[in-house]
Amino acid sequence: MEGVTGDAPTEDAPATQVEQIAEQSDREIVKKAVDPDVAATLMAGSTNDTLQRIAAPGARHERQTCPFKAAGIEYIDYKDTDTLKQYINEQGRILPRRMTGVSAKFQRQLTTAIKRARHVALLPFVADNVK
Amino acid sequence: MRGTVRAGLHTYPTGTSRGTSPHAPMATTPPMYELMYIINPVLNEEQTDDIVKRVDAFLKDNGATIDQTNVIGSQRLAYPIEKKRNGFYVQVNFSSAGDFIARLDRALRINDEIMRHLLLRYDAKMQRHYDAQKSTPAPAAETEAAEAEA
Repeated sequence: MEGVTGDAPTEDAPATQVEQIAEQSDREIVKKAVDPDVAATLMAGSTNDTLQRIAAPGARHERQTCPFKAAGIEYIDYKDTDTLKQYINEQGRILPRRMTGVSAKFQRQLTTAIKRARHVALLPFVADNVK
Repeated sequence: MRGTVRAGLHTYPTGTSRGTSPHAPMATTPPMYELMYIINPVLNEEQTDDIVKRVDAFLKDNGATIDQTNVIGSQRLAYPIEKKRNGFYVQVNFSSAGDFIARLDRALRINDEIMRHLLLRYDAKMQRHYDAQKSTPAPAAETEAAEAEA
């Protein structure tokens, strides 16, 4: 993701490279570009959308392991707000498991735990700064 | 065809299954429950104590056995409830027959001094978690209680 967002400084470099090797075929261009970011821009025609699709989360990532499984936790307690806070964003919304790597089994538990914590005002429904 | 199916339905659930099943778990061990409630922070210490005692007494009067009453104390709420920013948290663990829970829930809801409550029945997982926590008391809960007292 860092490489994608940091395409502003590298914008100049790919532009000149494209000019230099304009006659060459697409394949060779890709080969010549050493930087993977540059390669991505050349391949994708520099639209942000496609760039993001190439670097999509989970596209060619190593599989994350569930933090709850790893810790050997069996039950997620709604009173354990320090743990629950790791799985909500600054707005107070529950993070999708594609971002946190939590297994489906524990995501279900986590969801109910967060909702219970919200009911007894241990966690916010909406963060104060957003309200 | 329809008549026979109906007859079967009528005799089976009302006669045996419905009549006896609620009593079957009672005969073994009554399930564990966890109750957490938030008392109005405007009340003075005496009044909050009184409410905690009254809830405990209400549980005992209705045949529940209290395992522990954990007075967590005054805490800042994550969002205002009834225009109040703080709340006095109390957690009670008890075991009771199931038919009492609905009455308890209603009583808690009616009480104006109790702003919120949460009633959970423990399943096997939660029970194991609770037992494990009890054997090694959580340091977080203790510090919170200490802060509230200070």
